[in-house]
Amino acid sequence: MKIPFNEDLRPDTGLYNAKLGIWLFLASEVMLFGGLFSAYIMLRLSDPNWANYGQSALNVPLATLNTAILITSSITMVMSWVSLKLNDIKKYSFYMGLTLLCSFGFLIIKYFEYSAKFEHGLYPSTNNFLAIYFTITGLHGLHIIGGIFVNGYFFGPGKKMWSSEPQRFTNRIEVAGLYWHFVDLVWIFVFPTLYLL
Amino acid sequence: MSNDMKHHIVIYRNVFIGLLICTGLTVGVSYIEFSFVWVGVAVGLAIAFLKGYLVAANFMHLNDEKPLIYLTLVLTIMFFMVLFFMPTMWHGNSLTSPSNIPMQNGEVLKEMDSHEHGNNHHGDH
Repeated sequence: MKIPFNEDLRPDTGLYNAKLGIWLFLASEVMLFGGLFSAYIMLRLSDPNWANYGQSALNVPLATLNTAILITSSITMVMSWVSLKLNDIKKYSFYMGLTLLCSFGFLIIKYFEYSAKFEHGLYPSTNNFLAIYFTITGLHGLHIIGGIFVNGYFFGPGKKMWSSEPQRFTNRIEVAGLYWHFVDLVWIFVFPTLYLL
Repeated sequence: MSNDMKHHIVIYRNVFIGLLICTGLTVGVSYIEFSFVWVGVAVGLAIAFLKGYLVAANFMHLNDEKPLIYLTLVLTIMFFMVLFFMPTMWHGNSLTSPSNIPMQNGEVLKEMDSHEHGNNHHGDH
């Protein structure tokens, strides 16, 4: 049995089902990260020792590089969708491959950042700032890993759908792209909040 | 290549360049010492919101989306605002009480607590 409205738009919503589904999921993600940002503000405003927790010791150049990498991955992701719209599966693979490379690059840089903290004896239990820093960036990192699994599937075995149901596959990439841009969006706020302000 | 897609690609490229410039600005602004701390925070967050808008409006296609998506997002923002501001405006909360502030190594700030209650430790818990 074919699942309805995978390709066609529902008359009542004007959307295909997966698109409404991903936006509802992203709405719940806004609440998840919103709660953590709220906790960050509460801790920062109420802890009299906040200034001594070494926020300025974070590696800003590495985080800036990571920001540039995520922004690059966002445009390669959207270009992979554009390539499918233009019926160019080779270009799709090229751009999706670049997106995956950027994702791994982000995680590798994050690994070096975390390693430097641990080498200096800085753990989530050390102080309030590091607790919220590791929680937010760790959760964000998990989202990157989730995105790698999804995009990796569409880069590899999931791509065969293109030959049988091209429109459905294009929609899948659009939905995966919405998730990926959201992960980029979260980092856009994490970067100045934790590293710069 | 259709003209419509060409137009989209140009927009995506310009947004990408704009995002990189804004990232540089965010870092640059953080090194400026403003007269008031809140000015630096406001400028930093304003740039972040601009970047967020560029991503959401263009890469996530929110500048041309169906009404149901906008409705979902408006509801999300409403709940987000409640989540975000309720703890800070809730007068009856105990978060501002120094005894509840977690300090280093999992300890809590007990000095001010004992100061408030004198030397009567029996009434602390």
